[in-house]
Amino acid sequence: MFKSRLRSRALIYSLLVLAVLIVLFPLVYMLGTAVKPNYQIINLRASLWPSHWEWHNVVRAWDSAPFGRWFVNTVIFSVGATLGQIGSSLLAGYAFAMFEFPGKRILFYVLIAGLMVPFTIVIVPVVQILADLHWLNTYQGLIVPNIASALGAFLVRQFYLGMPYELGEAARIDGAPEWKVFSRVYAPLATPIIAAFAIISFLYNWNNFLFPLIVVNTTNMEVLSQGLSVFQTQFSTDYDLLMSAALIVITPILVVAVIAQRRIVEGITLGALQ
Amino acid sequence: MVPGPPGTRSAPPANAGRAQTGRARLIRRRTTNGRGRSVGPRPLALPYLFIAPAVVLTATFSLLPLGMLAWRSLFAGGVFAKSLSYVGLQNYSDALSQGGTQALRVTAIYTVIFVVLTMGFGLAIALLLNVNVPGVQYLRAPFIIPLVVPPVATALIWGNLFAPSGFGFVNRALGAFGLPQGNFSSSPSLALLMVLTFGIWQFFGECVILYLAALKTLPLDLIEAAAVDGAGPWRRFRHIRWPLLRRQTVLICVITTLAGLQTFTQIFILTNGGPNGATTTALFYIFNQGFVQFNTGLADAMGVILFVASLVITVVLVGFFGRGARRDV
Amino acid sequence: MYRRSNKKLSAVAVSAMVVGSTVAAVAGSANAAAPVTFTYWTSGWGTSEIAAIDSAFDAAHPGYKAEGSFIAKSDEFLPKVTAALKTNTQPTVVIDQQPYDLPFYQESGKLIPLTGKVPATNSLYPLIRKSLFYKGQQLGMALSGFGDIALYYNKADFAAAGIAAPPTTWKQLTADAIKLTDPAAKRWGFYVPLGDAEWISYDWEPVLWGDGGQLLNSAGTKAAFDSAAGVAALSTWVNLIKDKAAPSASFASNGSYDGGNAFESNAVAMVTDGIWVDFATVPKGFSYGVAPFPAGSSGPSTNIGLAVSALFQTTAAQDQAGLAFINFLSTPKEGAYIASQDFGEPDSPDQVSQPAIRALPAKAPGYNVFTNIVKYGGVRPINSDWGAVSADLYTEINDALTGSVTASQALATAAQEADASLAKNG
Repeated sequence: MFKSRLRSRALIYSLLVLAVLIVLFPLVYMLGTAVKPNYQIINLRASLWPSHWEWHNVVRAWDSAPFGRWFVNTVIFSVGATLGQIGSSLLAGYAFAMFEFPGKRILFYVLIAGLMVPFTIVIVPVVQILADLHWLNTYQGLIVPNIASALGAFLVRQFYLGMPYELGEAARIDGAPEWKVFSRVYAPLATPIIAAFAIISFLYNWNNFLFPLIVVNTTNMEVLSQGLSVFQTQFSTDYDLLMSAALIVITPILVVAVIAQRRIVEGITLGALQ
Repeated sequence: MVPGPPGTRSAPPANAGRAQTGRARLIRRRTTNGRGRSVGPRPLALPYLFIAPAVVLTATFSLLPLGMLAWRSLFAGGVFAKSLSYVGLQNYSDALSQGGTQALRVTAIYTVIFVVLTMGFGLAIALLLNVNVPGVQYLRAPFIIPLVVPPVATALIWGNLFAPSGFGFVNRALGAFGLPQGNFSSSPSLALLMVLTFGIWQFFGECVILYLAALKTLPLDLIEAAAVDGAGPWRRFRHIRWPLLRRQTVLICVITTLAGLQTFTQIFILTNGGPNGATTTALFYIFNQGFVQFNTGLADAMGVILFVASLVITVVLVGFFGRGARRDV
Repeated sequence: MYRRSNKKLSAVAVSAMVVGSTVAAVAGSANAAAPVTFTYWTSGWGTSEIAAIDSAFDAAHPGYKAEGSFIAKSDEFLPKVTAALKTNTQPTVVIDQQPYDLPFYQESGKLIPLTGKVPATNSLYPLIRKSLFYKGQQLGMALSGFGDIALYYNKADFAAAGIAAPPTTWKQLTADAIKLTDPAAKRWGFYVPLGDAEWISYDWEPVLWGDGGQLLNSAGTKAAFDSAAGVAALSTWVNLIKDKAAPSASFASNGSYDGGNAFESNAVAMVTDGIWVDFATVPKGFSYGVAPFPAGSSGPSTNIGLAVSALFQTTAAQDQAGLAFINFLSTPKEGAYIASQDFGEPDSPDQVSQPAIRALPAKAPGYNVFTNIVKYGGVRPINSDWGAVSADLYTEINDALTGSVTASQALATAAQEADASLAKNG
């Protein structure tokens, strides 16, 4: 029995490591490309490994555009949108799970329907709405339209559907109003699910490309994802700089993702064991 | 994704599953109206206030623009046309006859394969990661990375990996194993394959996260009981875990399906919709018609078609496969 | 842990709005006292180039201030400008890399024609000047630094095959390509661009013109490329692939279909491409030359890819400033500077002697060849349907190249579809 356990463990490890290699290979390639001189990237016969390392590519990329400013904008946008999504999803998910009210079903469908409208389709009308609000090229114009998240509301709702009503009994008997019951009793319990959703949401917002592109008009309000376009002209591309810029863009997010994912899974496990 | 309610761990196994939830809801229904009024103050408007941010913003920035779009799709005339002539459903039939049907077909094929493989790999990896072997937590992080890296950068790499026979890594690997090589950019089916593999690679990490979280919340006692009874890992999966995951599976399936239906960026970068429309998805068709060929009527019509199709598919998914989930709606 | 962030949410949202409105207020008040400020959008200039041009302009015109923004690469440029025009938030000037967008902008009613307002128009090369006019009006001004296409050839391969000089006609090129193809070395003689993208049309048009063909009839209402000249031109490419002198695989990469990477990888010995291959760094030992674009049966040709500046209606003062800016871009020094940034060609003779231009051949040895063939160049029609027509054309060309239809069938189908597109939008 010990032997079969060892064998199954070895199998699991090897499958996982294989999967990780497959997943990471393109990114290792990207790292190699970032430090290659441009002709080596273009040269399809060249080996995958750079012949010499041009780390100054990364510096060149950084200097070609106001990455510092774009960093700040991206952080503001991502954090703001993520917090907004957390807040709106928590409130909406709780309400849809715990309350009965007229029109509940229709309103829920309204929320879900939002998922089915990709932004590409509605670029012009959305810009029209934002222009009427004078929100183009502003932080609120970037953040507010992204605050609603059907996915988040869905996840939170499913979470609360599994919760008994009795949890809030003590508070209700004490005369607490419903919203206090929510904020004191139920909301803190959603930590694990919120943590998981926060990460997914933050990642999406960080990489959101099309929306800031359309809403922002001036260089100093642009976000990092737009910065990558700087290296691509209509018919040619500065590949080494593009890769270096991509490295710059993803490094913070990679750090956040790696640190945070451990927290999420720990958090979820903890939540499940309560 | 739903952690078990606190306290049910020690309850008898009958707690796990849908029956308990249903009962709780019935109780909730009665007591909300009864208790709510008599115990604490509960403003009638409270639920509406709670859902307001999400619903109002969705309505304003997704549905209202869609409505504007749907309205315009009934008229002929470009984006800037001052006077519009009503043409009814003409734009819709034009869209379908001028490449739209092919785009929908490509989207359907792509999405089906995409969903099956992405969820399949996601679940498989999540199951592996769920096993309590030492050091497994370090193997979790890499799967998020493809979700994180900007598609602009990764699509370039993907294109290079699939360069023609003898040059790209994939072809060189195929050649090394004695398999036939292919021209991924020029052949319709291979181009679709290239785009599909990119999509799956990029997205399956999301399924891994969602499934892993779901797996972690399954009641251990049921599974351990089955193990003690002599059920092997596959049987434990098939008869216990898989049924319990049903609600989450529906959710993940909906999310993945919508992601598949809305594939756009990598098409743009990898193949520009070619060769000859073989990789033109519905959303790419919309962009192409709207901003390259300036046929706004066709683009609008297709946008509405895509929306309706997404809605129908979601309702079918939730209705058919999520029989338990549906009761909660 | 969660409750704290619940309150944090409103704090962040409020402060975000405060920051946003403060910035807007400051910006607004700054405009009132300072010189007339206008904005322009570009998809082709990097941030340092924008900064250099802006400061040069501000120095030359103290009453005006230019604020340029790099918006996006050219594929994303159009949705953005469209949305801006529709919502009245457009910039005063746009620098567009696709001149055939101009008639589309004109439909918005907010494009200010430049007829008679830009004196430098008269010193442009005639073909370029003509391409700026649509239905009698000049819609935009050509920007200096346009590009054309020439023939690159690998000197080492030529020497090994015993070919003394690069081909001057397509006939010669086909013969040479067959000699240069070496399956063992995985090398073909020439690269024919495959794929569904604008480059394919752009690269094929000079082949058509070289054989005496035309894209559209003189009124611009019907396709004319399905003539005998067109079939001959397309057959040249089809036969190159059929004879295995060109790869049947597409080397398209990341949205670039020109095959520069195939040439630089020595997967092909020759390619017709723009100047960017010339100033890309190549490894030591890779020796290549640049020759004029191959001539067809009617004579030499090339294709000129132009960027244009256009003026949009904003406020009267800003429009004046914008017009001054457009004129400024055509002054010899600025024009030369802009051209030199991308190794583009100067669009009028008075820029040629500027130091910025004179320095270019040192960095890009083939630059003079590109300059010399400009006089044979044609320009794509300026027509709001061009996007659709080009798409019809390149889709069919690709079908012919991959062998699913014959050349004449492909062009006939493309002409049919193009006629429909042209008729629809007028």
